[in-house]
Order: sequence, then C-alpha cells, then structure tokens
Amino acid sequence: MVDKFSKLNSIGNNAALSEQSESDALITKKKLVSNLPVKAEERFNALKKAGKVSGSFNAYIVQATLNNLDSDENK
Amino acid sequence: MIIVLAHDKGGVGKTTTALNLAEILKPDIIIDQDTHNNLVILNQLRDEKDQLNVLSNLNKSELINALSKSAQGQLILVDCGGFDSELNRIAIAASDMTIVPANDDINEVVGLKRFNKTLEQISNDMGEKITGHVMFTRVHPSRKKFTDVESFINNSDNLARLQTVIPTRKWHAMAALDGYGVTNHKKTKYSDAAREVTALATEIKTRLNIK
Repeated sequence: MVDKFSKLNSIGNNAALSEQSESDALITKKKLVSNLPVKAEERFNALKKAGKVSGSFNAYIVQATLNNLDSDENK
Repeated sequence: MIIVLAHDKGGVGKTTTALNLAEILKPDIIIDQDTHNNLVILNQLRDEKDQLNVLSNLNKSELINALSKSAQGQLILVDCGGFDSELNRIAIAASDMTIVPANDDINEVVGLKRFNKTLEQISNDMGEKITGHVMFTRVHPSRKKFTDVESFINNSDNLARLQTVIPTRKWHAMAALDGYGVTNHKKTKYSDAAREVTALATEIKTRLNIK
C-alpha cells in the first residue's frame, strides 16, 4: 500500500498555479562568457534596431540558454 | 489529524476561521499558505505567552514533511490561500477534514461549483473521495435558511454542509485587531460570536472524534 504522504508528491500537477520557491526565483550568479562571436552581438543590435527584440543582450543570452535547456530536456 | 481551511476564492473567511479555531483546537502546528501571510502577521500582534506555532512560506517537501507529523498524533491546521495551486491541493489531499467557508451570495455558488471540480480532480489524483465541508460564514445574522445554496451542495458529489453558521459580527474584527480569535479576547469572549465559534469547534471535534 502506498503511504498517503508519499502519494502527496504527485498531487496538484493540474492546479492552475504552482508555487515557486524563493530560492528558484532569486538565485543567480555572474558568468563571464568567453569567445562570444562579435557577429552575434551585431545581429542582436540589428534586431533591436528593427524592433524585433527588446531588452538587453545579457537577458537575451540568458533566455536563449533557458530555451535550449528546455528543448534538450524534452528530447 | 489535519484540518484544512480551503476555497480557491479569496475573502471568504478562511483566515478568520483558522484563527478562531486555533484558539479552541490548539493545534500543534498551523501552516499559513496564503501569500499575504496574514496569520503570521496576526501572530506578531499576540502576547509572547500566547504565540502560535505558525509555519509559512513552506516549499513542497517542507509542507509534506510538516503534514506527515499528523501521523505522530499532532494536530495540524492549514490556512490555504484563496487560489488553486499545487501546495493548496496537497494540503487538501492530506486533510482529514477540509472546511470551505462560504456565504449565500450567488457568486458563492459559482465559486463553489468551481471548487467542487477542484475537489473532484484531487480525489481522482489521490484515489479516494475528498469532501469539502461548506461552512456558512459572513452571512447576515438574521439568515437562518440557505435553501438555494444548500440544494446546490446536496447535488455536488464533493461537497457537504457543516451545520454551524458563523454570521457577520463586529467582535471578529475587534479580537483580530490584537491577533486573537473571539473566544480568547477579553472584550469578545462572552459574545455571540464566541458562542458560535465554540459551536463550530464542537461540531468539528465531534465529526473527527477529537477530544
């Protein structure tokens, strides 16, 4: 028989909201990216000038990394 | 034993009821799951000797760990936030009794209908029926019959009704100003509100066989 409290781990997946722990939300660190192609920043600046993206290049890199991680995790 | 105050609608009286029940049931642990942390703040208003053991901002594993202490005989009272979330569902799933404060307003029926669906989903996930015990509160003191809402409850698979009614009374706000429930504040402990809250606690104790 499955223990009631072990079962609780699988409850709530279909709730409208999911609580985000503060640690997940706030923990960040500085990371120096070496050998970033100059062309990449130029292409970003061109997109920004054309109004196709917004925000900083730093935020763009972070978002691209997260997107790539999501994609690889779901393979 | 785990008693949970829940409704995915805000402002129905979950925190006020939790505070009032805490005075009588004297739970070993109170878990405040509302993002406003109202119980935590109310506890700060109380005298040092009357401090309640309130836990808040628990993550999933901390919540399950705290709830599991009920297996060692601890009484746990959970005040859920007024929204449908993963942790609120976990508390409901673990509960021995889920109390759903509501009044007789038509908007309440809409809210209860949605909450009945939520309880149905939790029941399916747990593989056992979870019932929300609707408790009429914040109703006009002259209101004694709730025929329309009651009829809806009777036709809902995952809802039942508690018989005690806690009407709107000025004493609840007076006691809460100092962080107390109505039965434990010198200005309100002999009031109608205190008698009504005592009746609610007695009904809950009888249903759960708590001494």
